[in-house]
This record gives sequence, C-alpha cells and structure tokens, in this order.
Amino acid sequence: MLIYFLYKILYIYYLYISKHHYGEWKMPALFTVPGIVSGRFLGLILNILIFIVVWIFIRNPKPVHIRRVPGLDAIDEAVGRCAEMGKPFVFSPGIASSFGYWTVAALSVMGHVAKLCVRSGTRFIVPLGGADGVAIVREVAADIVKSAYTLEGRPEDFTMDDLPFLSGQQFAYAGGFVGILQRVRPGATILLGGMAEAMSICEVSNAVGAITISAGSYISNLAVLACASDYILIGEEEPAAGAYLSDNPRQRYSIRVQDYSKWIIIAMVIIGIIFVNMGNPFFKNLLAT
Amino acid sequence: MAELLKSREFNLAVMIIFFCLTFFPYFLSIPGYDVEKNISSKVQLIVGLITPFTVILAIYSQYRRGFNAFNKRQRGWWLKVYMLFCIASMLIFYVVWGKLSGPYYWVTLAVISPLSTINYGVIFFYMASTTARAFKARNLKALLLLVAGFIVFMDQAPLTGLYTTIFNPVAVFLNDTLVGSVTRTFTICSTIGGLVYGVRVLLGLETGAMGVTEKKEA
Repeated sequence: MLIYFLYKILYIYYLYISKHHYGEWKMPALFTVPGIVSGRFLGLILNILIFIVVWIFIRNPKPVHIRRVPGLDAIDEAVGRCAEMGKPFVFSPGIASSFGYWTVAALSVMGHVAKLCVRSGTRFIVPLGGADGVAIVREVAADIVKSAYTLEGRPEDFTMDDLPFLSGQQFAYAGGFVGILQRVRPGATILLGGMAEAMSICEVSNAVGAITISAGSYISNLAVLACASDYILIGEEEPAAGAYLSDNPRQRYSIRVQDYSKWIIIAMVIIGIIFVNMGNPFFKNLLAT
Repeated sequence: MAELLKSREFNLAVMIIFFCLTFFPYFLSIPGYDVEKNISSKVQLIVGLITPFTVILAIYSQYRRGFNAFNKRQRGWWLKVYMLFCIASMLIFYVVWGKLSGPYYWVTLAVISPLSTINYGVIFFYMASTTARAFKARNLKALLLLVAGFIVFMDQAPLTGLYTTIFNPVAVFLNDTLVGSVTRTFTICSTIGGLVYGVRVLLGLETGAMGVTEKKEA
C-alpha cells in the first residue's frame, strides 16, 4: 500500500514536470552598481570576502581539527606498500585538457607523494599527456619531481624516462598508461586532475593489484571512479589535498574557510527554498545582482 | 636569468598580474575593454602556440621510449616497433602526399579506427567488471544505491526501457531531483574548494603550480 502510494506521488510528479518546462533562469537584478557589470556584483563580493577570510586565517593560524579523508590518508600506506614490495608508484596529474585548478591541485599533491617516494627509495613514474596545456604541465611536473629528488639529497637518481609523455589524444594516452601499468606492475596508482578513460586505467590498475586512489573532477566520472578505485576524493577534497597533506599550519587552517563557506551556502539554499515557495522573487533577484 | 625566471617570486608576480588582468575586468565595466577579446584571447593564443610542441614532444617521447624498450627487449617490444612504424608511415604520408591523400587515409582507416573501436570494446568489458564489483550491497546505503541504479538502468537501457515503463516515473524523479541536486552540490563544493585553493596559490602557499616542491618549515 505504501509503495503504491509513493509510486502514485512520483507518477503525479512525473506528469507535472513533463508538462512544465524549466525555462530560462534569468531574473532581473535587484539593483545595479555603477562601474560593476550587471549581474556580477554578488559574485565579486563573495570572491573578495573569501579572499579576505582566507588571508586572515592564513595570517593567524590555530590548531584545527580537520575531518580525516581516507583517500589522502591512504597515500602514506600506498607509498609504504610500494617500498615494501619493491614496486614502483604511478602518479598521474591528469590528462590536462587545460591547465586548470584540478591539474594544479594534482601537482601540489604530486610534490608530496614524490618526496615520500624518493625518501623510501620507491621508483616514481608520472605518465603525462593531454591537450592544450600539457607542454606546460610536463615542465612543471618535471620541476616538481626533480626538486623532490634534490631536496631529499638524491638529484642523480632523477630521470626524465620516468616522466614519459604519452600523447595529446585521450585514447592514445589511456593506451600508453595502461601499457605502463601492465609492464611495471606498480604497487599503487594515483589518478588526480582531469582524467580521460579513467575506467580503463582504474580497472587495469586494479587488475595488476595496485592500490588505486582517484579523484573525480566531474560528476559523470565520479560514479565510475567510485566503483573502480580503492579510495576516491570527492569534490573539494582534491583542491584541499595539498593543504591537508602539508605540515604548514597556515595552509591547514585555510581549509576551514571551505567549511564556513559551505554553511553559508546551505543557509542560502534554505532561505532560497523558503522565498521561492512563498512566491517571493526577492532572493532570486538578489542572486542575479 | 634562468634563475630569475624559475624563481618563486617571479612566477608569483606573473600569476598575480594575469589574475588581476582577467579577474577585475570580468566584474568591473571598463569602457572599451572586453576581457574575453583582450586578455583571454591572448592567453589562448599563447597556449595555442605551445600546443604544436606537444606533437613534437609526443613523437620524440614515443621514439625514445620505443627504442629503449627495443634495446632492453622489454615485454611487448614488438608492439612498440609496430607503433613506431605506424607513426613514421603517417608522418611520411602526411609530408609527401598530404592529409587528404589515400595512403594517409588508409592508415587512419586501417590502423587508428580499428584500434579506437577495440578501445571502446575493452571499456565495455571494464564496465561489466566494475559493475560486478559494485553489485555488492554491503549495507543499507549501498543497497539503496543499487536499487536506484537498477531502476535508472532499466529505464534508460533501450530495450528494457520500452518494456518496463513502470520504472519511468521513478527514474525521472531520481534523475531530475536527486542527480540534479547532487550535481549542484558537487559543483558548489568544487567551486568553493577551487576558490580557496586559488587564494592559497596567489598568496604563495601552494607552490605546486610553480613547479616547486615546498621545503618543510622549521
């Protein structure tokens, strides 16, 4: 009876949305500010606000409790496993279709992992590839790995052969990546940044018995990676990973801003729901300001 | 000079200048200044100029790795030889006869297209194997996820969607309401994370973007 009732509710909902189109979400701004592009005032204020709050947090760091992220905690374990088994560690900062913040965040994590690998004497392989920004990513990645070797006092062990450039095309990149996994049989694989053919890479990584840690940079990839990986970083966990793994208290404290921002967003969503259901366009107009 | 160009301060200064050149004109209305036509297009042009190097880089890298594999007789070295032969043929056909020539098309149709098709076929098997692993409802949440996935699957797969119309309202509800809200949550969280990360980069705390590994603070 209950199931039938729920089904009926969903059926009514289905009939409702099939009749009503969503339409274009374009509301008039509540007000305009001279000198500021219409509809971008609130965005500017929020950006400046976040900048100021992060700056204040960074200047006055306090010991802070950060929620554990299993995917990031597993990095140490993965490096240790590679060192014990004498297997290499494969890290990918993504296909880098553009030098976006996902790629840059992945490079921040890569610095940390590279240091751990060099310290434990684990071979560190970084397959690189992608489109537009990849020539830049390759140089940046090489500098990061090289400086990790230098900092650990083993600059002579660095070789560009461990940072192979595979291809600018996603299938060729995935094919090359999978080939490396099959040949070197790593102990662990990390896939961060924007990944193409994540399914192929994750499955092969799993098949060769490597611990697989991945991050989904877009929602469609997330489900696939969640099924195929041992650990997954979701949403803002990847951009925050560099600070999370860092020993720097200033960086770690800045992560709190994300939590506060999320509370503000949740409050805005609740207020928005109330206003919309009351039929008052004030909040929509405010967001369009 | 090289030291200066690679220094953290110089890179940070360049980053801040470009940030200001793109960030403020986006929000502030400056008469006669179109951010999308000025700064963004120029940066894209620079990236566009760099892009051709990736092709050269890829060819160089593949040949270097291929010769290494051949010399060491690594596992699958003969596949490397085949790949290098294909790259060389495509290059020669392109340079001598052009992109619209028969030989170039032949390599595209006889080598690249079948391999791409195989890739898709392999992905299908990988999806099946991943799904098999995911079909383990170890707790209530996993069970709910599995049931939701099954309903959406039954509705969206071509044949089952035709014969199991009973799932349609539930699948539409799941897709439009739950998936929509989850997507927005993901986007909001990622954007906030990106913003805070961006501020850390601009303040010089995240050195990864500049190719520098941070030293441990004393």
